[in-house]
Amino acid sequence: MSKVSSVMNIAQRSMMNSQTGLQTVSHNIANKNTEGYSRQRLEIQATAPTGLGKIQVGTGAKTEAVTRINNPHLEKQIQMESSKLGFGEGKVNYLDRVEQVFNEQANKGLNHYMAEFFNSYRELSNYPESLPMRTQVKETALHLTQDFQRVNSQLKKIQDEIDGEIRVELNEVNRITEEIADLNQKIESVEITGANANDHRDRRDTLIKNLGEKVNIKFAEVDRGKVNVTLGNTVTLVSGYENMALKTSATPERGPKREGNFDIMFQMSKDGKPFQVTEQVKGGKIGGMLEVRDQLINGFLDKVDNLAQSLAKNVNEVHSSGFDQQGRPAGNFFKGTAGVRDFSQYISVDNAVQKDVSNIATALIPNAPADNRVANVIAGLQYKNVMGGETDTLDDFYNSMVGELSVLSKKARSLHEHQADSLNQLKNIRESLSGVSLDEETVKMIEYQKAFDASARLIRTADEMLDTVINLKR
Amino acid sequence: MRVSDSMNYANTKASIGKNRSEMSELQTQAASQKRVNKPSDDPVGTSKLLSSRTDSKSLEQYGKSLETAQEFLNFTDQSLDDLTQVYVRAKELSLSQANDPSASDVTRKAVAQEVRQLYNQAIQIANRKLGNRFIFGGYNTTTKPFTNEGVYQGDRGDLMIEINKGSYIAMNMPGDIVFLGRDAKKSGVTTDGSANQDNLQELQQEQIRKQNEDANPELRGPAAEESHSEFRNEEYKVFFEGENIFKVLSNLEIGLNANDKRTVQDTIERIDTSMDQIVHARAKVGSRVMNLANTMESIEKSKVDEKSKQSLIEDVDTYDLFSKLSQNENTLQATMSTSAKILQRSLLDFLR
Repeated sequence: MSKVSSVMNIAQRSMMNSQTGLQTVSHNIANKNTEGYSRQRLEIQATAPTGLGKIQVGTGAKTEAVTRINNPHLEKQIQMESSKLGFGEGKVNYLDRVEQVFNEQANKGLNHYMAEFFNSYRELSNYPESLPMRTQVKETALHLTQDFQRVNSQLKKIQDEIDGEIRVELNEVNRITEEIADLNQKIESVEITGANANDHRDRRDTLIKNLGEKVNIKFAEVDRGKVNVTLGNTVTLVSGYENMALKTSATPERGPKREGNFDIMFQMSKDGKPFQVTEQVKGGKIGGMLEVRDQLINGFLDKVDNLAQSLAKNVNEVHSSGFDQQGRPAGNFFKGTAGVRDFSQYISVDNAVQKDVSNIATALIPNAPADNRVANVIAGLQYKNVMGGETDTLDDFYNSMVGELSVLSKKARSLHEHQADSLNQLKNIRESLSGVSLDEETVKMIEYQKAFDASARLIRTADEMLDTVINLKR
Repeated sequence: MRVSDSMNYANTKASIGKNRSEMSELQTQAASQKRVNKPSDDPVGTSKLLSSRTDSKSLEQYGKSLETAQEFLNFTDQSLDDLTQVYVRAKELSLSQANDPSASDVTRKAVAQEVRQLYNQAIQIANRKLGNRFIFGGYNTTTKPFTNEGVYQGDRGDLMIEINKGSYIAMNMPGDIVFLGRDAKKSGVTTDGSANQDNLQELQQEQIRKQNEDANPELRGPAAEESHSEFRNEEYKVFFEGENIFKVLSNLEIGLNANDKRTVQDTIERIDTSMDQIVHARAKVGSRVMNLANTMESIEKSKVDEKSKQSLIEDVDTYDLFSKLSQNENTLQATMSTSAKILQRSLLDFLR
């Protein structure tokens, strides 16, 4: 049997549903611009009808749940792609900087100064007796060695900057893992009641994406909505409610890493001994920066050292078998370090030559003022194959190094652009599914408002009906 | 497809951003007038550009070296011409004094005075300087190559100048060749540049060989057969095959002073060989000057080639650039105006 009071009940519940609906609409609108937000929907179900013999009468609707519109598979894909994008970004930014060190379109560089040096020796060979020409040779040699030093220090400065940024990024990583652990707890406590922790999950998805942009992570949802995150193979960043911090510290030289650059250290527990996990960071922005710092820049530093050392060695060999202006056997022209490593940092013109340019050798035999044979041989070194198993000239070696760098940089940039495009596409798909549309929310708003109005009207009608019933006796 | 608001914004942002970055790229090109502004703009081109710039600089230097050598050789040639005039006059004089009918001891005494002047002139020419450098001293350019007695104080050094990549030319003519007749009877092959000038070991070996030669002179061909090497240069302990052309003049002077007709007659032939010797040296100088002129031409051409190669790689094609720029501008404008229209509209505008 139908009752007036049941109409009132239905209408009251319906008004509550509409209010919940409107609240969800307003929540959606408010979070229109929130990163990683998934729009939420009311799931309204008809309540169980009451049976009156043959007649089944509906009993209205109830709000079953508030769910978020979200595709976990898509989110995972976006996470993976943004990790790749992060890697590219870390690489491109710093490769650009490395490229500027060798950019001779804008500034003079080693190519210019090497040519100037050899040409000054050629000019000296025209006037071996001339003091001004000797001074000229000294000056161009100083410019050349200073440019070697510039390249060396600029490359190392970029490494330092990368170190600095890695520190900042690691702090961010630690902050994120802490928040993920915290969210794990919150999500568990919400979802244990059977409700959906929509906003917490959105937030956690976003954090995992952000984390993946920085380092290469793997993550999996385990029991009761908790997510465990690992970096590389062995580094557990988040496990349940716990997060473990990453630290940096300068450790000794190792493999491709130079002394003084930071290593990433992982501390298992509060009092555990931190161990070095740098090599496991292969992805994300930090992975990209590490590749530039350890592989690329160190590779170029080695090459520049090699170039400086070969130049000094070959010039010295010839120079020291010649005779100077006073007819004395000449010494070295360049000075540097004993080994190849960091030769470009220490290369300079020999003290004796700096002090007195008459110590520069041009002659093969003593007391022959115009003997320019040694000068000719030194100038001729420019086009001699002295590099890489005597297959390349100094210029070839340098030019192919710049060529290699520019190919790397160009490739990294186009890959990065490509990656950004494909990530944008994925994000578009995600936004198309999970993003908030104002038009849609407006329609919903009207919808709920009308439902609310109608429900209120029902209550008034039921009230009038009750009045009618009560007034029957009059 | 469902379109959410953030999609609109993101797309607008992305496409305007893309247009803007293309625009700024083009602007950089327009401002620098260069297509290649950093190595990665054209990796292959950059490598070519770098080596081409090095070559350009080398060519510039070769041009400079070449001019130095040219000046030196021209001056040498001029000096040798002057020297020839001296011996032309000496021949005239000796011819006029060779026979009794036209000459007597009085005229011979007088002519001897002039021959002394000629001798001094020859010494002066032998000690000529270009700038601060004595041109006939070999490597020894800072002290006088010849004493007043005609003793050579220079050495056998050839000043090799690099005038093109790997190609060298001697810009000087050591005085012992011209004035003392070293190498005069050697077959036409010159010794210039027998060693690679950029190879230290070869140069050192050549130096040792030369020193051995100086210590133990080898007598070849007619010189050895005739063994007429009257002119022994004590300074160098070398028997030269040619004439000591100073000795020719001083012999003539002695002959004239002594009123010795036979000596004067003998001298005529030796003046001829002296002149041959000078002409031979001049011919060598001349061929080098010619070589220089040819090299200069090819260097000038290479310079232009390198410049145009560089321009082709790095310079911007202005027409292409500006058509791209205006194209880009249109795209940007279109993006902006459509974005403005899309972003303004919302259902809320129609609800009152």
